[in-house]
Amino acid sequence: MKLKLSINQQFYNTHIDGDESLLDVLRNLGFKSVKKGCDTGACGVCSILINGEPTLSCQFLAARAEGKKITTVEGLGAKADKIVKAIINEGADQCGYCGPSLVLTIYAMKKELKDPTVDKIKHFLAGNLCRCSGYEGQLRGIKKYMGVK
Amino acid sequence: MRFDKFIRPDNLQTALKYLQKDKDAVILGGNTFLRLSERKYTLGIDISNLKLDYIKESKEDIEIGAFTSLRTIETDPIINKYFSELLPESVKHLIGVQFRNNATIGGAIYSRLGFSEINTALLVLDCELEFEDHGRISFNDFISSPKIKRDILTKIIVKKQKGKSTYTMMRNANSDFSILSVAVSNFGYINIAVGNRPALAKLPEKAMKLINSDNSKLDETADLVAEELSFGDDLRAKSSYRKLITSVLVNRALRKVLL
Amino acid sequence: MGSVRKFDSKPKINGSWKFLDDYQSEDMIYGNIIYSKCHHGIIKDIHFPNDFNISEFTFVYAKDIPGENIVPEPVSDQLFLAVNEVFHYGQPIIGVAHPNKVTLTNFIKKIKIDYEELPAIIDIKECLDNEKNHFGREITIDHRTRDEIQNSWIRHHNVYYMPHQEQAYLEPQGVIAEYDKQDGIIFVRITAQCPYYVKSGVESMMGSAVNDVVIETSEGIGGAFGGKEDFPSLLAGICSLLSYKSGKPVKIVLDREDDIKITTKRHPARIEIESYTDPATKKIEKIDIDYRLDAGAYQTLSPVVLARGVLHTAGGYGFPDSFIRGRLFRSNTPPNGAFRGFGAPQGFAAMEAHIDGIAAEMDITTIELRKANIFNNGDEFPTTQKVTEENLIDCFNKVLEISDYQKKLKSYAQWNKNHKDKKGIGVSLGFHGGGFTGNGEKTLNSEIKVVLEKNAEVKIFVANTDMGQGAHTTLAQMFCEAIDHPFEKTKVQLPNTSKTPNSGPTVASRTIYIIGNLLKQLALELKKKYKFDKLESYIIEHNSEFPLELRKNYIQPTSVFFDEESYRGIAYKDYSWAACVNEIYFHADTYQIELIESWNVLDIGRVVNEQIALGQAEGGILQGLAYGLSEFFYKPGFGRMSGFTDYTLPTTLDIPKIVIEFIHTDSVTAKGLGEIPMDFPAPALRNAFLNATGIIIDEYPLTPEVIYKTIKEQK
Repeated sequence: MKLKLSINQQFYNTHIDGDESLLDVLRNLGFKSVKKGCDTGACGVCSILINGEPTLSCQFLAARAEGKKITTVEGLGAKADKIVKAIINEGADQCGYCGPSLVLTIYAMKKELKDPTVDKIKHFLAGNLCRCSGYEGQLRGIKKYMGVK
Repeated sequence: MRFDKFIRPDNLQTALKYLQKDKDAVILGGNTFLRLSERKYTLGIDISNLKLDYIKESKEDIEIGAFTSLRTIETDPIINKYFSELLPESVKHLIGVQFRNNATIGGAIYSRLGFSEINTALLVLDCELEFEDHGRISFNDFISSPKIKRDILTKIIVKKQKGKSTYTMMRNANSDFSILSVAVSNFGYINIAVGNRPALAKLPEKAMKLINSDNSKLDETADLVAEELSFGDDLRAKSSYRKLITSVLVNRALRKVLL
Repeated sequence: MGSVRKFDSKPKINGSWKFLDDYQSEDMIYGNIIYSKCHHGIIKDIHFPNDFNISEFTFVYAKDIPGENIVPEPVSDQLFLAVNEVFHYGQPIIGVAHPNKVTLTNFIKKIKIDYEELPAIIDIKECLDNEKNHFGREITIDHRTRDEIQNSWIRHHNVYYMPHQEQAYLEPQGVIAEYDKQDGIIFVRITAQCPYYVKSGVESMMGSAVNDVVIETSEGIGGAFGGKEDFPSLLAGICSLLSYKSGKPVKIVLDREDDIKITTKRHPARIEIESYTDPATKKIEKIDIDYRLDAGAYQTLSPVVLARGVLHTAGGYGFPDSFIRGRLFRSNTPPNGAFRGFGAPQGFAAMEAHIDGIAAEMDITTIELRKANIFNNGDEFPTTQKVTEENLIDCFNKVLEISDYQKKLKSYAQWNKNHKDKKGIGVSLGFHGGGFTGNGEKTLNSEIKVVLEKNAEVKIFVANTDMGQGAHTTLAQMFCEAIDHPFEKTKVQLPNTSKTPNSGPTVASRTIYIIGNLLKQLALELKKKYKFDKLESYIIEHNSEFPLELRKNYIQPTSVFFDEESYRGIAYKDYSWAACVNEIYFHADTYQIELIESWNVLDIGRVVNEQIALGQAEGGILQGLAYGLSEFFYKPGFGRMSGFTDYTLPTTLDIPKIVIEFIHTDSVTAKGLGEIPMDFPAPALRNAFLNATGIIIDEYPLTPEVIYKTIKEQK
């Protein structure tokens, strides 16, 4: 079926199967920052923003995405700079596979959490698995970025 | 899960017509667990355009649209005003925010999933379901007997009640499904539900009778729940361990609503 | 320089860094493996679904292999593709490819294979408890010095079981093979740790059918932890054959489910320890260790894991009399392989538990017992290698100090008297040998290459991969720091077997320790030879002499000799040391252990990049804690896990406070770091539980269910 998607404030016309996941469609369109880690909704590396909300693209039907605003890390542009800096200042990135999805989730978290605490931050990020870092370095950077001690 | 054709009707009647016409049609809710199945369907009916994503408060009830995400249940001010210890608690540990933004309350209920914790919580409320074809049915009836088929769940109606309700669970790791879930409410009458046994949530009738006849019999009730219900083995826990945890968690929950 | 920022940080986070599945080309087709769903059996019949156009698919069977049907490294006994009989679930039978990925997936799901089922062993204890299942390598370290056992000595005897552990790198296994018919060259791009292992794998598969094989890694390697050491060779072999037969570039990326089901895991182990302790001196006078690994259906890497395992399992203690026997056991499960620690975590999990067991039996503190036996200068390893430093004692003392161990021990004992829930604190310590075992580094003879460009840019050519551990940044940093060359003017070539010389595999905590120090030496030799103050200015002044290519091989010092027969001599030239204290809170009603804090003191010598080192330690410690607390892959009656919904990894909500301190950082040598953080958190956790409850559990992980079962059985 034909599909018109709004990705990072640009329109893309594409053909898809009705049961295709948004993850596969985004990757086919060249948005390679959106990674496939498990394809079963468990790891978080395929996270994108749909109308600003962090969502697993592996579980989101592409066909349903028409009319929604999709944001990948490519679309955050300069808005991601501070987050990226916060993470790399701590040397917290390792293999990098979970990096883009983490940045997007932090971006959404910053907007949503009005009075962030360490517990709230950890709870918000529980769906973003990382096997390399033990989360420690990431959290050091994120706490600074969120203004939490 | 695969399907050949995708449609997105803009009204419930059309959606229901498609569903009932084709036995290999499927309703696409959050598409989280459905997607993991190996089954192939002819038609996927998307309900995202049916305006079923809402939470409304009336004088007596709270109405929750079936397409409301679990994340909304977790954060919604109305739900939090009445059942903050119960409903948000029953969903907030499920995987991550990204997952809960997809998963819907309707999907959790209609699929009658054993590991779906919100079903445990809803069981202790005065709660009704509204189906497009079948009309209204109590949540308890729906959960305990699967007579409604090929229908569309449109909303969940929860009666506002005065009193305390609480939810507690146990899991091996935070990203895992829970090994056991317990919900208890006290709106004059005490309700106890135990889920993730790993089978679907259930009310222990005898134990409820006991605690309602004598509110001081906390320990006896908690033990009776464990005796009364049946538990199964899965890779997360064996039945013997589930049974043991049941009395611990029920005891904790009862203390919260009674003391 | 301390913490030079990783050069790949930004592209990784903004998504422009390319991982394997991000590479795409026009006529690329998709491949996959059809593998056995039977644990052991004879293949009777293969039924393909009839609603597909079979002519669109490319198939490769064992009979199509032009070279040898054997994965050559490290031990050549595993088949690429099964012939008639399958020996484990997940054994590849057919390679298949199709232009459409979805069609391929649907096709594979519908294939049915009939087997004549044969007896199979899939249960860990069934495999390891039965001596008849021993196969392949056996190692004995015999350091027995006396026959008599004195009557006053206290015997302590126990059997410890350690589970599988899944590496769970977030990027699944993947490979792209491209056969160039004209030149007869196979080019393989792969997410792997060891490009030269992959090269010999593909060469074995293709034999004389091709003229050359070139392996290059993907830009990003999304985690590996040992999981991408040997399995990639198998995958690359099959993918290459598919490309050879189809004439098209073929990409295989495993689904997570397949990846978890069929790739290597940490070996389950059964370790039996018998010890005799003199109550007067608290010296452990005699120890006997039976170390067994469940290798799976083939040996593959297991002999090497076994070697490291037996060399670490006696722990950081100077036993005057020791006997260690290590053996591999066969089961009908996929071959187990490398995972951070490589046999050592199993060894320490048993030995450090045993030490606490002895202390409990003798009613002395574990600290007294450890102090009486810990490596002192002049003590000997079971291999007779002399301990020449007391850095382990320093780690131990430091970790007791920063964790406030003694004070907590007392106050928790008091607290526990009045509470049903319990608080506990536990300790563990030991070492990890850097680089290949024994004469391994001598055999490897690793080679590095450096090119000095006309514009004073330094290009480093090594086969070691950066899989997230920051190796390429740290390697460049080591060269630069040695001669004060600007880090920005340094590049590390992506590992490619036609460009980067064979500097050995990226394993065994050897990349910084062996290759980094080699680069440093090369830089210093360069400076000595050309007598420059700044390399940059020298190159500008003598521009006609450049570009200049330099090569250097690692030469093992002649003082390092290891006798592979008797297992005596210097097993590792340098050891890293560590000690760990874990604090827990035990919820008595639900049998749950809650992690409170983990203190880790490590001596890894010079710390080249503090941030990278800290990140490595933190990641390893969390993997170690999860090894002890929550991760298991097989459960009797339920079998093996099949995805991240079953095999659950720690999340941000599962982490305790982690404190890390590096000591003796003023040392000249940068020693091994990658593995040692993994070795000690699990036993320290188990010992903390023992301290809290007085209950001995000799099986990992300590899940609530295991604790419940143990307590119930003891009652």
